[in-house]
Amino acid sequence: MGTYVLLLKYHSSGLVEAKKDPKFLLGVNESIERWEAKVLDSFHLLGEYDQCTIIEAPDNFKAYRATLAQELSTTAQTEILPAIDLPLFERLISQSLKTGGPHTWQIQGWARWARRMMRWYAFTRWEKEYFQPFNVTGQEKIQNIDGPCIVVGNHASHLDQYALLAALPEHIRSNIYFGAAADRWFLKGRKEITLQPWYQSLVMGLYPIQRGGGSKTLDYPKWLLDQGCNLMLFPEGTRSRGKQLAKFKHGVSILALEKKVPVIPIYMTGLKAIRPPGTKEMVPGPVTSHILDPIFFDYYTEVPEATNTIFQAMNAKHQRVLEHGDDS
Amino acid sequence: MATYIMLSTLTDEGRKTLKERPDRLKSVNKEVEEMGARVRAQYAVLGGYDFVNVIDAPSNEVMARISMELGSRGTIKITTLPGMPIEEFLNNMLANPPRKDNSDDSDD
Repeated sequence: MGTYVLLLKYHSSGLVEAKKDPKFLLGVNESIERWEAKVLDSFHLLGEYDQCTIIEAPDNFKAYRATLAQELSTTAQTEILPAIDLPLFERLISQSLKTGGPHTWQIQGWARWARRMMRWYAFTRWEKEYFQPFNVTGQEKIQNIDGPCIVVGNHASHLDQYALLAALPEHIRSNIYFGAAADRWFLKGRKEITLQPWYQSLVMGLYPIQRGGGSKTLDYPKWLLDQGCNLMLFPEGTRSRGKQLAKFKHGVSILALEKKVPVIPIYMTGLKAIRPPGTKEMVPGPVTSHILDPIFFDYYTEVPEATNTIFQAMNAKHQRVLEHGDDS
Repeated sequence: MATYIMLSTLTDEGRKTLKERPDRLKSVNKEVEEMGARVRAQYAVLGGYDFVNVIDAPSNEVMARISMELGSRGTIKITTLPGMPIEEFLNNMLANPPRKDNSDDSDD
């Protein structure tokens, strides 16, 4: 939900209405709430504007619709100002826009050893605390994969990365790297050690992806595959908000076809309930990672076809879970 | 306490200061409180203004002082509008209905 400040100036017909029936002023709030927006506070003003209403709305479009409803029903002119809470704004302007990485040293022996040593702190303790119980199905399907591969998962929660890692056998897990948004995870100048770009590369095994960076963003993952490393990507690009899987991007297919590596789809359930979107609190809950059949592409497969194959594999499981629940 | 809506726009100087020292935002709140008012809500906004502040202050005089004090630094331009909670305004309107003999009530 976003916050919006509405500044209203009544037209003369609106003022006539308000004079005839002052309750008309509250009708404004009702008309806003009809459009899934919620009135947080409302003031009548003296001066340049007649009314200031602070609302919460799901997105810009719904806020605009709520305003439109108000304009039509109250004959008031409105100015809508999308608002950001001040503490968040302060944090945003203190951040540097410069990002760090990728750090090629992250695949060296010493870095992998350090990552293994930090695994409990960075991953395992969270898995033990919140994945109760944690189940993995289909692990036997990937026992024989020993070359580089690309692991893909559905993305609904910040915890997906943890459930994916925990599902993988050690020979894949010990040499896997994740693509993460550079503007979120690789910003320079942050204070906390765990938010430093070098920490993400060394301990979390992440590498930066520049949003909207085009084909150049694939240069580093291609290099990783050339070095015999495994990759983990979320083909949806970002966390999906709705019930259905979001449209898959082509990056995974381009990498898999060019480097001739298999794709391992893993479908995870239960993570959204542990930390629902928009909340920071986490509650333990059951989590299952379903390892689906690895996909090997023929050399003549086209990129859109490959993307569709990966999507269909994930979506078939997704629809089964939606209809019948997780039967693991 | 009365409520005021303070709409503020940063000047070029203000933008520079804020970029260099984002913590100024918090210290301004403290100063407002020292002058006898309370910041009830604050938003950074997109549009014709940069910030919308909802401030509770004991009187117009206190609010005018705050407005002058903050504006005198040359970092923001301020528009302060006295406000009242809409329910309170409504109750006042209902308690004081328009006089029937008022000529502008007639249809013409």
